[in-house]
Parts: sequence; structure tokens; C-alpha cells
Amino acid sequence: MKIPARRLLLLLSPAVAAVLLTAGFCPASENGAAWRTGIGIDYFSRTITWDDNTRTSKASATLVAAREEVELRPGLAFDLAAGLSLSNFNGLAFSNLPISIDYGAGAVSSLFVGAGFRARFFRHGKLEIEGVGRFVYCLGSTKTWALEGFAVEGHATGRPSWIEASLGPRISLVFGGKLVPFVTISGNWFSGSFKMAETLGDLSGSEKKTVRAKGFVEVSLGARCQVSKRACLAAEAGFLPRAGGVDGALSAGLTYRF
Amino acid sequence: MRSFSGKHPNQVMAFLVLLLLGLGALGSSQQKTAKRNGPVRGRDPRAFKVAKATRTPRAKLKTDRVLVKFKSGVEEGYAEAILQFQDLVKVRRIPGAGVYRAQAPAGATVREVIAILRQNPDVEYVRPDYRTRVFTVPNDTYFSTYQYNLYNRGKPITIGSDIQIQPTSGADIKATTAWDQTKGDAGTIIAVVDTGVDMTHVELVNKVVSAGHDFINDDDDATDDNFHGTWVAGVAAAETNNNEGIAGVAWNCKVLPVKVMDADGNGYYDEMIEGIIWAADNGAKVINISAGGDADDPALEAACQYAYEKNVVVVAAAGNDGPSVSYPAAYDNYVLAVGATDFNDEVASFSNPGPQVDVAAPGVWILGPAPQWYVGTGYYPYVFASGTSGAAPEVAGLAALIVSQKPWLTAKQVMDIIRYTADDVNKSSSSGKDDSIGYGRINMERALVPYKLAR
Repeated sequence: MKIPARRLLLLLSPAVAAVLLTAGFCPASENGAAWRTGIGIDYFSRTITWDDNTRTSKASATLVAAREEVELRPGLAFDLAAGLSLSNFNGLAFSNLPISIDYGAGAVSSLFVGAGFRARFFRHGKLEIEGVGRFVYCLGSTKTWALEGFAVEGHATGRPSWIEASLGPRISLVFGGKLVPFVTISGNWFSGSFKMAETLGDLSGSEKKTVRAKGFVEVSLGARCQVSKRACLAAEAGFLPRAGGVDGALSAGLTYRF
Repeated sequence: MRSFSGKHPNQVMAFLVLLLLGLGALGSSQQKTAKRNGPVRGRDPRAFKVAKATRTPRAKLKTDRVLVKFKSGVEEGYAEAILQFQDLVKVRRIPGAGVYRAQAPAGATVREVIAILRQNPDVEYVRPDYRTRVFTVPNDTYFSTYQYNLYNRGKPITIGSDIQIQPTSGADIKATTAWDQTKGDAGTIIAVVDTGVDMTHVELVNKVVSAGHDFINDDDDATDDNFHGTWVAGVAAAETNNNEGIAGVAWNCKVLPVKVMDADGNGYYDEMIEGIIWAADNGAKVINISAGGDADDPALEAACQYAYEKNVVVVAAAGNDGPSVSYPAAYDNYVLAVGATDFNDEVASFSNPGPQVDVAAPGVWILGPAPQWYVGTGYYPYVFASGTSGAAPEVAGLAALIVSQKPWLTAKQVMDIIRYTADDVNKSSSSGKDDSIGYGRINMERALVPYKLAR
């Protein structure tokens, strides 16, 4: 049975047991390698440019995924994530099709995969500096809409896909308590495409729109909280300055160490 | 769109009003003109006199020419020798079509010439060079103040002194919203294959790309000696947004005059064939043919195919007061056949029906420019006329806007866009494509404004 993407999101979100994509929120075991499993939710809204930077619109995505992290030694961890993405590219204009289309049909669900790492390279007193990086690839899936109001039947089929990668230092203040605040400054690269195909009677055509985000720097503030000996909650809010404004990103999740 | 009253009362224009209905010879019509009484500016348009015009029955025009196609491999010199041996005169090869035009000698009928030539084994076919004519015939003449066909606000229009029509709001081709998207490109040329164009007319003086070609007099001056071509050209692409006159469908597109009919609005197939090919070879992206004949002819079809295969959109009027679609509009594979609707989105009574009809456009009381000499001194150089002749250039204008917006499209794609985006305005009586208006009355907005793909 196919579960609608929104319902799936609704079912999963109460669990909010995830850290997604942002590698290693919680401190490692001091006893060697540790495995953590978690799920989480992630959201971003980016200003994108397309048609050789002549056009601008928004792209947003909500990601829900399971994540597995391995901490090889304290301060060095890798993680893999996979899940469902709801990618929204409202505002794209496909003007090379026989009948031009302004896209406003909302989110298209598809699978995504991701990978990340964190590596601590400095620690002094309560100050800890790590390098963190992540990579997310939204595979894309097709969605079909009827073209209405024409003299003949027709439909449009859209397929969005995108890649996001980031890399940068994270500064944490380890007070020894359960709450650890941190700030991350990273370079953030977002690129994607949306292929739209159109069939209307004898007319047909397709157009692929390549997009990329306007901003390249992300500053995020977050905190992780050790809620039990094995469970860790984390949340993070990111700000992506760009020419003329700021984009945003949010993530939250829970991991459990076995 | 501007009107001639209301917003600009000081620019009220007087027009000679001609209602041209039905097929027929323009020259033989008993058209009368309206005289202007004193200064025009600020006058109530109803104060103008309007004369009656008598509708002329469509005349059958006899031909005295033949079209001959020789089998492949027959050399030009040999082919011409065959024709001259039969004493045929005015022998002329139509470049691109591979067809010869020839006139029957004095004392011989076309039928006799055909019978003789058919016995020649080198002749692939020989057919009468049928006659063409424009699709409008003068009728009762009045004038109005604005172009409901482009933007119909549903306000009553007084035409002359004794006709008032009550248009239905929205019964138009949605031009104003489409113009927000595109006004056309100056590089997109609409060839008006007709009686020529008045190239000095204020609506067209800056719109013609050249003096075109006159296939009637065989020179490079396609000046209109009728009025029909000027009217058609203006409907398609009159100078727009210039504080006077009318708006054309394709604001910025240019006009290429091609004269294939004479001062009486009559011509031969061979001239139309040459005109189509010449237009396709001389930069036209769209060809408008508000004329035609009753007979099928392979050379005429081949000319349309030639243009079509050069990615030129050929738009032709379906014809008026006839039982079926005229030629070349009936060449379904290569030509967009245009029927006519009126100011209420009703099918115009004169519009020829047939399965080849692709779309329709308003064709009743369509205002367009006319030569000053035609309307006479003291009159404003515009006429109101009716017929599928007026509907076709609206479609040609739309085709030019689509080509301007998306020059990479094929002629078939442009034609399909026009077909599929039409409004099925008679669906209550005939849902879907029908013989009266094809897919429906064209909708420029739907053809040019992006489709909003929503949830």
C-alpha cells in the first residue's frame, strides 16, 4: 500500500527520534567504536537561480530518514542516512515547452540518501572544534499532473532531483552537563534539476531546468542534549545569507546508542 | 486595446463601414461609401452617414489557363517546347513547384488544351488553373468604435445609425492578457498573400519589410489596388500602441506584401502558388491567405507543403457562404483552416464548414485599415468588414506571436498549439472538434501565457 508522503511525515514526526544529516551530535563513548541508530527530520528553504542566473525562485525540502552512525573513536564518526524527501520547486518556469508551464504543484516525494562525517581536531578546556561534512542526494521520482482546459487531453510529468553538500568547522562548548551548544560555519553547495515533460495531443516536449542555490555559506546554531545514557536529542537552526536576504534550515533528531 | 471613443474622445475616428459578407467579386459589388460631415474629432460617430451596400452573389470565375506538371526527367527546354507547340501563351514555370502555367490560345478552351496535353506521355498531370478570390463582399456598412474581437467588454457597439449589437463579454481572442506575455518580434514576418498592401498607410508604413512582390503585374511592388490585403495585413499586424488607429494582433511583427489577386480581388491559382513559394523563400514565418478557390489542385497543395516543410505556418480562411472549405484552407496536412465566429462567440452564418476547419476567430464587423484612395477623400482610411478573411489574420497574428516567443517550434507544433488552446465555444451544441469552428475560437491567452501547474 502506498502511504502518502504527508501522512508518512505525520506518522514519523511525533517520534522525532532523529538526527539527520548533521553528523554526530552526541558525544562518543570513551570505550572505542560505538554504533548509533536514529531517525530525524530536516527542513530547508533555499533561494535558487536558474536559466543562467537570470531567474530566481525558492526550493524547499522536508526530509525524514533513518540514520546509522559509527563512531570509530572519540571524535571521529561517519554516518549514512536514507529516507523520504518532499522537494518543492514551486516557481520554476518551463518556457521552452510547446505550452509553457509555471510550476506551482508543490512537493514531489522521492527517496534520498546521505552521508556525513565529523572529526574533532581541537579541544581545549570546554572548547571543542570539529570538522563536519555531509552530502545528500535526492534521487528524484516522477509525478504526473493532468493538463486541464485544453481542447485535447494532456499531462505533464515532473521529476526533481538535487544534491546538497556542506563542509566546515563546528565549535562546541562542553560544559560537562547534558546540554552542549554549538555553532557551525560551513560552506554549503546546493544544486539540482527539475525535468518536466509535457504531452498534449500530438504535442510533446521536455525541458530540464538546472538550478543552484544563491548562498554558499551556512551559519547554524544548535544544541545537543544527552537525555539518557544511550539517547541523545539534538536540534539545529541554520542561516544561509545570500545577496538580498537569508535562507534557512532546521533539523532535529534523536539517536540511540546500542 | 484602444477604442475610438471613451478614453480618448478627442481622437474619435470616423470610418467607412463596409460589411463584406460572402464570397464574390469585390469589383462588381455595389459598395457605397460614407461621407464625413465636417470635422471629425470629438464627434459622435453615429453622426456619420452610412450608405447601404448590396450583397453580391458569389460569382463563378472561369479560367483560361492550365497548370501542367511534367514527369521527372523531362528537361525544362523540352517541356516548354511541348507547351509552345500547342500554341499555349504566357508559358511560365513556377520555381519550386515544378509546374508550368500556360494560357489557352485564342479560340481554344481550357478543356480542349487539357485533352490534348493529357495524351502526351511526358505530362504527369494537367489541370485547370483555377481562379481565386478574396473572401469578403460588401454588405450593409457601418462603423464602430473599438475592436471587440481582441477584447470584448460586453458593451453595446453602435454601428452606423441603425445597427446596435450587444456583444457578450469575453467573446474575444483574449489578446490583452496575451500581450502581457509577448508582443511579437520584429524578426517574425507575416506574408500577406492577397491583393497587396497599402504600404503608405499609417498602420503599415513602418510594418512592411519590403515592397514585396506583385505576381499579377510581375514586379516588386505589391501595392494594394483593391483594399482587401491592406485590411487583412492591418488585422494581423497593424502599428500598435501608437496613439492612433487600431491595434494589430502581432504588435511588433512585420508584414511582407505578396500580391496574387488583382484590383477586383481575383486571381489565378498559379499566382497564389507562386506567391506562397515566394513568401516561404523570402523570410516569411507565417503566411496568411484570406482567399482561395473551390477546386482542389495538387500544385497548390504542393506549394503549401513546400512552405510547411520550410517551417512556415500557413493560415488560410475557410471561405464564406460555401458548402465546404475552400482551397488552400482545405489542405489539412499543411494549412491551418480558419472559420469565423461573431461578437457573441456564435458561429458566423457565412463561415464555410468542413472537417478541415481547425479553429475560428471573430470574423464579423472586424475593423482594419484601408487605402485612402479606396475610402475617398475626407474619410478615415479604415473599414469594417466581415468574413473568414478577417478571422484568418487574427490567427496568423497569433501564429506570429508564438513563433516570436518560441522560434524553435515546428510549423506543426505552432498549428497544434493554436488548435489545442482554442475555446470550444459551441460545445453546448457540438462538443469537441466540429466542422463549424474546428477545435474552437482561438484563445491567445491560453496559447501564450504559461499554464499554471497547481496541485
